[in-house]
Amino acid sequence: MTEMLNPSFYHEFRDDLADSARESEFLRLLEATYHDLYTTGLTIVGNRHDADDVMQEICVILWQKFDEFEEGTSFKKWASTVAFNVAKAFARKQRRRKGFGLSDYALMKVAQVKTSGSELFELQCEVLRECLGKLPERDRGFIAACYRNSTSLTEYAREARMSVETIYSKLKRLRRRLGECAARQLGKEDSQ
Amino acid sequence: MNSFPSPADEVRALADAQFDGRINHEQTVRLESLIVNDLLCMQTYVERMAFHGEILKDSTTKTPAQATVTVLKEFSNAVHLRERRIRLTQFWSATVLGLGLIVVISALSIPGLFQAAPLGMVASLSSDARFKSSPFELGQVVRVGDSLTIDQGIVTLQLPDVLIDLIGPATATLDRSGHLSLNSGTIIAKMLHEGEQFKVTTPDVEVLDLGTEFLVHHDALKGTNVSVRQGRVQASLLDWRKTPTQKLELTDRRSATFQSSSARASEIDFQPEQFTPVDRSRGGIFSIDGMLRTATEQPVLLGSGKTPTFNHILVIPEHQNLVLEEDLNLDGMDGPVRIPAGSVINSYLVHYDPPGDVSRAPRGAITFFDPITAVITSSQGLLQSDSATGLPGTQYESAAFRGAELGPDEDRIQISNDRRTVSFRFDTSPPFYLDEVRILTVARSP
Repeated sequence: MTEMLNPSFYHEFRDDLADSARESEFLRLLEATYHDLYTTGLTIVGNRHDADDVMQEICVILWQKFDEFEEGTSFKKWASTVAFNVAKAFARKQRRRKGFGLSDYALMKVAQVKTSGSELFELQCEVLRECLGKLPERDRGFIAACYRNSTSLTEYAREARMSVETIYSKLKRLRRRLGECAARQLGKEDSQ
Repeated sequence: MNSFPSPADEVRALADAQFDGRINHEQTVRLESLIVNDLLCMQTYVERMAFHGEILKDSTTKTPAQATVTVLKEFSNAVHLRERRIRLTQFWSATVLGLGLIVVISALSIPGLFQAAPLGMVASLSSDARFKSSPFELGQVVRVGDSLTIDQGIVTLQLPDVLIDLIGPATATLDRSGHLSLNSGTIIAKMLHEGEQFKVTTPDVEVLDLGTEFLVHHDALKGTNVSVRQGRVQASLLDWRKTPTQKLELTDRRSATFQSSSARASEIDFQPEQFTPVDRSRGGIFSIDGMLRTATEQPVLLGSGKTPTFNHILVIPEHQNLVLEEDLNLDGMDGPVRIPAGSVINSYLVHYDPPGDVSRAPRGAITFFDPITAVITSSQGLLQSDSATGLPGTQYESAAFRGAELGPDEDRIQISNDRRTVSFRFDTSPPFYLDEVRILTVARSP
């Protein structure tokens, strides 16, 4: 069953932002592209926790720059460009803080490949969804728990009363199985 | 030697390590070298990130509507965070020089200056209290900014002018004096002095207490319920920017539900049983210390060895707000006690039953809201008062070794001059380790 969003929620946001159709439009577009933008941020910053933070930054910047978006053009393309730039700046800051990280050159190449191969990646994601659906319920639940955990796998391991290494080993096995399934579906030999 | 069958396999392993936050400096250099110099490796890296993104999406198990709400909430949080950062930056820019000077001078003369201000202390813990992260100790000081998480049981915080019961599982943050943020779960707040104000905030509502006893329960999906048992609160529905949009004033035995995402605030039926866990666990106890812990469930069997207390002394609220229909005559610790008919009394049983000899004599103290009128220590006195003030449905010990044996080298019990606090030191000598004491307080005299 598809749950309908309470219209008053949209209404409230619309009022608060500026009481115009343009703001409602922004929210609609953001919702439609949210996942793609998240993956874009993740691809650049590399880890899940940074991706959560960068996604918030992306949302704010998109809203601030929304006047620059031309109606009739692709919001996804425009927003992805903004997301890449925000994520690259974020990754640069993290690199300075941690003392290591992928170089600007590498990140630029990553952005190029991500943009040029978007249709292929969408197809792969579709196949991966099918493979996830084929996993036994218990394994799917385990993966979901690992990915849902917003703190860290170490904390999840403590909650699940398992060693961190056990969690990682199991996760590694399941990732490999998913990769193999996706590769079979796509007819690829070297893909796990 | 490289153990990966192919560079692509190595890229996947490194990308996974990066995603999981386990990648180190050397591995990052290796990853960079692989993806920059080999287009297939680069494509594998991007595919792998899309792979993780897709699993994350699958794992969230949100409906499109819920996903939208998440998007909007994250957006509002980000706006909120950014506005706060800007305000903070402006503030610090203006004051940093003068403040820096004061801090340097003060730091030289005041030890512990940089520690957040203490707000209160842990006043009570139930025997089943469990904490996954940092555990609480009785008497532990709580400070501004402390995040308080309890997974099971009840912890009571004594803050200026208010007692807060956090019922597990729950998480809250002490924002500042007189202000608590409830992130999840249930709290019960009881104001200690009239005329003071206390504020509880959840993502849905801001509850301003105007001298009362009230409950707030927050659930991320269902919203926030506010129930007032006594007194008056002002509850304001918050919008996505945390701005109040609708106010409801709640008085005795009224409840309301608030949901920010649907902009809904409405009255619901008052459910007194929501307060039961704290009534059952703490009753009219203000605070406990030492080895005492409160009970959260009514014990069925209290005979010797039936409800062992391993590392604590258990205090069990029994009959509460009992109106005496006739005079109650008892053998108290200091002699005969007569409580006149019409009095409203509360009864508490202190139960200590270690499974064997213990190396240290257990100590503890209980402070009540109401004055202590009788402390019953003899087995005979306990037996006589079981039916009148004990818990119906609980089977008490009837043996003669049940009571406390008072004496300089035996059990010691003292009542404070203001008759609000009773302290214990139980002697543990074989063969019978069970010691029980009943305390009666008078909530109202005729």
